[in-house]
Amino acid sequence: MLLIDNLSKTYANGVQALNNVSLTINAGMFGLLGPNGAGKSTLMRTLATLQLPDSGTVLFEGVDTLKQPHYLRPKLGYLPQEFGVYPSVTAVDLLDYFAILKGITDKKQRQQQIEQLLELTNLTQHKKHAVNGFSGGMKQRFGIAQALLGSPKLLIVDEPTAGLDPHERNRFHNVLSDISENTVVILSTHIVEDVSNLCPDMAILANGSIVQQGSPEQLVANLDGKLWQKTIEKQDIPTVKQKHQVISERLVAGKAQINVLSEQQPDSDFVLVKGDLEDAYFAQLQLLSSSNSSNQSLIAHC
Amino acid sequence: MQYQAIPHSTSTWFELIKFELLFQFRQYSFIGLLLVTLFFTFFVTKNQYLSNEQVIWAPYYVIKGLVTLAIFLPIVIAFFSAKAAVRDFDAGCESIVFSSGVDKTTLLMSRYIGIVSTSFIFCLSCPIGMLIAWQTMSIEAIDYSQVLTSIIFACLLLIFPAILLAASVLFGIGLKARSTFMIYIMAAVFLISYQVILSVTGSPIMARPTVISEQFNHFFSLFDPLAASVFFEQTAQWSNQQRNELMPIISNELIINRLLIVCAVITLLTLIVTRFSLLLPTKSTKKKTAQATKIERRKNTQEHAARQSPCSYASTNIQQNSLAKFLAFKALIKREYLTTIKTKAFLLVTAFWALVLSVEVLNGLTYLESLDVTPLATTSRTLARFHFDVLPGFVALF
Repeated sequence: MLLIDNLSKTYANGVQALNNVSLTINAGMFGLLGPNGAGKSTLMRTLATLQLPDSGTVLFEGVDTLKQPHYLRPKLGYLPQEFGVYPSVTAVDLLDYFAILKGITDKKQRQQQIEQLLELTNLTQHKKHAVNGFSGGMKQRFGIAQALLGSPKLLIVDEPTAGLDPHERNRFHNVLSDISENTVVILSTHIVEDVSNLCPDMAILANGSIVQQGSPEQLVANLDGKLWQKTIEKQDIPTVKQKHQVISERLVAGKAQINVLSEQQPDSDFVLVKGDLEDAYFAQLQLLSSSNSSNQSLIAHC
Repeated sequence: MQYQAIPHSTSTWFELIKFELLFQFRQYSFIGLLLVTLFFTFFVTKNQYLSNEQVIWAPYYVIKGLVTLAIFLPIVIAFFSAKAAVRDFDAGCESIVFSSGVDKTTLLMSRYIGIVSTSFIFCLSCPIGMLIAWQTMSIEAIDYSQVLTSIIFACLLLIFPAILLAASVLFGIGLKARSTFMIYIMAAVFLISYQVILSVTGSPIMARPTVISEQFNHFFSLFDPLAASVFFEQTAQWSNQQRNELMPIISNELIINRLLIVCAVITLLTLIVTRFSLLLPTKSTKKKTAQATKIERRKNTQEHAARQSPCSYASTNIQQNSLAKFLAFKALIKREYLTTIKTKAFLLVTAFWALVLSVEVLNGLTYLESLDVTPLATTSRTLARFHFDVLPGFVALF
């Protein structure tokens, strides 16, 4: 349904945000995972027709949306990573305004959908309050509500669960899951768990390029027989890092549990473990980082 | 929970304009400004000096009063334009609005109509203030039909096109500069410039007016946004009795002036709509420069370093000596300099005042050297206008 072909974008300050990004996204949830500054928001803004790339095309239902943004926009729901609201305007009034902008002119239908969305995002009791007075989580829920106005065919949500408490996050996951049955939903995040819970298809974006694409299971399967774990003292971390390719470390009961990517057992103390999506993600970033640093060493030697 | 799909309709104009009006009206500042204007008009009218021969509600005086008050329109329109043009940027919801599916003509025109409608409704507070003042002045036999005709003449024929023009200019500046401050600065520039031009074209509503060139007067009467010059040219020779009885006519000069203003408005709006795009502003470059490569390498190195870096850092002592205080003070001064002085707005204000002051100096020199040159209207004239016309009005408040 959504075809992204060779998108590239370099900002005036020289930062290359996107580098030949190509993706095919079908109806359902698609997770876009990447560290901060990977180019996720640039890609989201480009898909939302808010920014033009230097090169490349985006086809939605066979139509080039970069050339004909008016084709996509009425079918689009977009929750930006950061957004603000007009001061002193209540939640219901602001949703009403956004609904009018989306072209929902029938007042009765508009009100009905707004009421449903307020209920869906648990904001009904706050509907008469000014949105600029909302807490971070409430504002994020408001953002979700506005993105769902007009029943979009393409829903782009950029870091949607940032600031949500666990209960609201689960609630939102359920909403997204329901919607994705006949809608393209692109979930951009750096929270691995969100992608792991929701997306049957995903991609990892780093340094403006797609470094891996597939289902979470496929990505995790790449680690089979290669992920080794060891629990060590915190102060030993630098020593272990020098010796092995540590992809992640986490604290468990005050001790460091490190995961190492290796074809063979790195040390007799290491045990083979089954990885999860987070390990696959960190492994990919570690590989990328290592290749960059070796490239830089080469450049430095040259 | 599922929500129902709703079919889209094309008639969004009415609803958007309604929202714009409500958005403007619901601001406390709007209500405050409206009340201040109403009371100001009330007190100025109540304390207006007229001889026994002059009828306060006569067409000439009503139109003159409304036109004089309308000189301050740019400031009022700037207030509404700022809310309409810059609010998406200020609030940070441009991406939501732009990606909503609304087409740019509908979005821009609904906001423009919102500014014009609000400004016009706001302007009606002036005749209302006048009418209230007359009620308290025990004036006998007011001909309300004539008063209404005068108000309609002034508001629809003189003030409304000026609102259209000022709104299009300030709205355009707001969209381009994305700065509320810039809108107010430009409104102030227009306000002062218009008063200076009125002074040098011999307008009777300015204190000590001077005519520097008949040709310039003729040119200005074509493009005067308020058409005040046409009105005063038409009524210049009227006696007191004529001023009490006659209604100004819709002359050819007035029609041409109004048509030119409307044409200017249409041109400006066309420019605004064609130049504006529903895209977030970013500057891109297709060529990968040396700087780009450098930044990319730095980014990669930092990312690598971040992954390899330890999870603790060395503690540092905060210096409290006089050198540290001086350096902190210097840093604050630099920050203030960057945010206030080193800005386009500051440059614009400085350039404008430099122009005004240089004219002042030139005027002073020409006057002192007695070169038999007609002095230019400058700051002193504008100040004189406030001294003679506006200040007595304010004094009347007390």
